Amino acid sequence: MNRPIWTLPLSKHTINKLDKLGYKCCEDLIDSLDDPEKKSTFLRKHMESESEIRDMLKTPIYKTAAELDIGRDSIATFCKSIDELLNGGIQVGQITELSGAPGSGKSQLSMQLCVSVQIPVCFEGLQAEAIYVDTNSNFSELRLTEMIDAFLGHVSKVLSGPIDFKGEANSELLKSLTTASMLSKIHRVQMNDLNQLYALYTTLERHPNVKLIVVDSFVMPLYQVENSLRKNTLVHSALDLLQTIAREHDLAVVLTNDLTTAITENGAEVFPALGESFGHRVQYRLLLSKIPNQPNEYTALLKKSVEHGRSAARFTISSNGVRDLPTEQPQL
Amino acid sequence: MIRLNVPLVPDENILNNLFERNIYTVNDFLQKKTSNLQSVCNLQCKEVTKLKDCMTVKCSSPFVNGYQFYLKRPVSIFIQTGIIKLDNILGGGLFAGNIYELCGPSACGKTQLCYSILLNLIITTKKDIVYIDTKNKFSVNRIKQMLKNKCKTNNEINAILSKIHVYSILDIYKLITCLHGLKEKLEPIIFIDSLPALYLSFIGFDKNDGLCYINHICSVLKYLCNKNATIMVTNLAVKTSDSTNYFKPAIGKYWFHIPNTRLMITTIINQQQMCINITKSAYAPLNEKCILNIDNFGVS
Repeated sequence: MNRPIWTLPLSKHTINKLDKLGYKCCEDLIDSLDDPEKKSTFLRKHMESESEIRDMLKTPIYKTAAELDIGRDSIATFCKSIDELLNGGIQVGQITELSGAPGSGKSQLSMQLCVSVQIPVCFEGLQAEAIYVDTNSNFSELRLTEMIDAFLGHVSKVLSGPIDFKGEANSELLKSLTTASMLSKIHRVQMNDLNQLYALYTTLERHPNVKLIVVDSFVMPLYQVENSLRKNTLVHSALDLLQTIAREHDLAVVLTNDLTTAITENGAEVFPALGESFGHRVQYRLLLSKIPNQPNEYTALLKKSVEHGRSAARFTISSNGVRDLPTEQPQL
Repeated sequence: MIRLNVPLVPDENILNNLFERNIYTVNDFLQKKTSNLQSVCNLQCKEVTKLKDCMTVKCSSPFVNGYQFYLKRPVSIFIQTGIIKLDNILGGGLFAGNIYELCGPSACGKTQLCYSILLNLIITTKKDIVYIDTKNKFSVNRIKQMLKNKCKTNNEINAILSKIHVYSILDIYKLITCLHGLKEKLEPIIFIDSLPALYLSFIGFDKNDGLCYINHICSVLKYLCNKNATIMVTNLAVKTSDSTNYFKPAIGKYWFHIPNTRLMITTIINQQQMCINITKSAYAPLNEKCILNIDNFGVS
């Protein structure tokens, strides 16, 4: 079976030209390209696309599962129960969705991750930077400062403790950790259209050490799109882009999503927005919610994961950031 | 549509003459009047007719009668999936040369079922397996976890892992190239997880190019099936546009007819279980159901 030329990602113009010259399938084209006598003037003129076409026809290389068994990095939060839920934290190279009602801690967790991604290597962190794509003006530099100060307080407490984090270089590095330096490693960008996500390519060139991209919120720019087909295109091309970036740059992508109500035969049910096809394309889905009648207690329910079954974790949001619940719960 | 070449037409000169008159393919040649071709090729009327007949025979499908076809059939047997309840409803297991579709809403356990079947197939057939991963989510950790009660030593685990060939593919053109590259492989077992992930971003443009690509993928898959490939494709189930809350397979009407067997998966709410229902099949009885458990060791 031959491969038709129109299945190649070429421009319509080139495909039509080749079709007029009688080239219907790639095998014929490659035959003619290989034989210098057969090369017509058109093919000679389009020599620049020759290597491109040959690249397009190269069979992709597979890796065996044994080769892929190298372990993935993850971004630990400051909350053990969430880390355990996600096998060590937010997975690098994957898309994680945080969905929840307003006030369920999505932005808080996102900002916490921007701090967590900067944990130095000597504390088994990634020591990297973060990009915060802000679409609904939830980004709060004051809140981040609070979280960073709490983190720095924690670091100095650990350092003064009995365990010796040796290495001069490390201590130098720790000295350079200041609120300002940490804040400067969080790159915030405001957007109101998902097409603008293409700008991430240039941002990533400038800041190659970015290991986390947060889009908070992913749905906000879509509310202004009325045509549902257009919405679909926007969502999936943005996901295509983020997926490619996540793989190429080996970084974690976190999207926040709202909840929506679906009316079914059994009454109304609450679902994450954007439907099944969006849920299909994210690798991890966390549903955050506030526990009613309990001040400052939240749950994170893992709705989708390839490695774990459905399970839940509880956390609290203090002035320091996202943390575990205190072990002894206060009686109310 | 085959391009004209020298064994099809007698010599180079005639070929060049034909090309100058914009007659490039067998189709073009057959559609031209014999009288016109006579002057172009400098041949007798008889010779041109003979040439046309030769081309028709060479370039069209040969007829085989039912008995010969029966005799030539590949001696294929059911490959057991290793999941007893699933084998029961499938009438024994997977049949080589068939396309199976696992269809269900997001997070219903499609990938989990793929992993389980994949590992069982490696253990029973000892063959290499092609796993086309379109979401960059292949998890070796999960596979290892599933193997824990099947293998004892690390060597055994590694032997199985090295039999899984993972292609990580993020666009539809690469998928087509990849499938064309698999044509030479002998009786391959192919998993595609998942097909709609590559197609969804095409929806919404005026010209629905995505469908053309999906249709071409269908024909390549069918071609591979003729060569005795066993193919498992995961597909997303989306809600129908009326508010009845039913699920239907994504990626269009044409694809609807392509799989030989469609397994619809539904989640049983708040439990680690899934319900499998055969909604299309060439040989298994329809609407047979089974309920499978998902646990640390896979689907059973």
